[in-house]
Amino acid sequence: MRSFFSATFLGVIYLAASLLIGEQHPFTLVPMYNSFQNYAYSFYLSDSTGTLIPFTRHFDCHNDYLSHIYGSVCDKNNIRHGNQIETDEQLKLIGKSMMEELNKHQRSLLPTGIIQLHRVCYFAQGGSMKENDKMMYEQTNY
Amino acid sequence: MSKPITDTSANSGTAWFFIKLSLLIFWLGNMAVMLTQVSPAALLPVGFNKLVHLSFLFTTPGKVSIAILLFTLSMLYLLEKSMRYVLIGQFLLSVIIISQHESSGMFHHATVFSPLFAVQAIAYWQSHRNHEFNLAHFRTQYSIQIIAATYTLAGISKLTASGLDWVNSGNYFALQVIKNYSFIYFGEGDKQALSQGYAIAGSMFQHAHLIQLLLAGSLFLELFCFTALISHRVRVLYAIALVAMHTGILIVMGIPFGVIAPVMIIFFLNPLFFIATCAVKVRSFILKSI
Repeated sequence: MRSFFSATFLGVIYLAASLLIGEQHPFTLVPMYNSFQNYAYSFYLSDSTGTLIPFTRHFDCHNDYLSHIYGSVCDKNNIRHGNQIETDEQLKLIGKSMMEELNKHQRSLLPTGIIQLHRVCYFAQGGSMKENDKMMYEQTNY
Repeated sequence: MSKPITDTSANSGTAWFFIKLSLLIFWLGNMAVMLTQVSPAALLPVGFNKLVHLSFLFTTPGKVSIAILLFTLSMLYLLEKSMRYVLIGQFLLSVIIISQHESSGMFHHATVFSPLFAVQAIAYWQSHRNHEFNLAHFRTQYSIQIIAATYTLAGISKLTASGLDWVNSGNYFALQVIKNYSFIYFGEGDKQALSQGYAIAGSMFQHAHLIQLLLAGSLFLELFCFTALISHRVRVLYAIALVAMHTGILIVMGIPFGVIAPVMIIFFLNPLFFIATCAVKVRSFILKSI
């Protein structure tokens, strides 16, 4: 018993501290995929015709970046989000902030003309998967 | 001429050297990626950034200074010099870089680096205070405890957020799958990834029971990861099971091995040491045969 205690005590302390303190680095609750919501959001950039602009070719970021900053921007602006409850006005505000954040990581120029930011919501309905595409925000690139 | 590997035990100095080498390569790679991505302005300060504002460190001159410090500490770590202070430095640098990265709205899920260096520092300080302390054993064993704790936390997090019903979320899991594959398509323009995502998500809707079984298996593995501390043999078996789990996640969800999986492989299996030991054995066998 004593040897098991000595073999685990630092790990147990880290575990207990993480549970107490929560998601504050260097502690973590490892929340990835701890719950599966009944929807999933994904984001993309397109031109005015809806043609995809793969954003990692123009910005130095991971392909899940837009998804992460969506949550951060909503939290920062105290906007309740998820399962398409956001209003058009809120989406426009969020989209503008997301584009500003994205532009901080620009690697190469985007095509000139209208650039649109879209949100796709995937959801389960009647034993199959559905999706809903919503244009959140657009800006003109000169 | 390099020194031959004579001690092949898991706690030998050579085994520790290969753990450090693997960890350093991985740590430096991750820190470099995060350092290039962060900017001085934080979108939403989290963690350490809530307490201290160190945005000046992420200007260009600041980043160059951090890079020099990262390299210097890495060399000292590899050469086993001033370890008590070097490990504190590596811990602090990890905390600062990861906090700034997370404050920028990016999540690299690299948290494990900071506590790993912290517990290694604890081992070296304990050894400094008590000369009978088994440093060779505990500098690795403490790290393994942190990895086990991280996996266990992942399991607890699932139970607290969703309860045991987490294993019944197959359909919602399928939505996460298509989301992850859509990230690849939307981010990189890889149309094939999206088609693959639809195919996998569709089959998950069809085979709900199999998904339930796999989810239950992965939850069990995470929750009981402390059993990997029982013995070296159990740890190797556990590592193989975890690698299988991560490979399944990679294939099904399109999520590549993150930070925790390679770190687990380094400490649970020490593959570089294994390869080096095998190479030495093969060499001596060939020499004897001749």
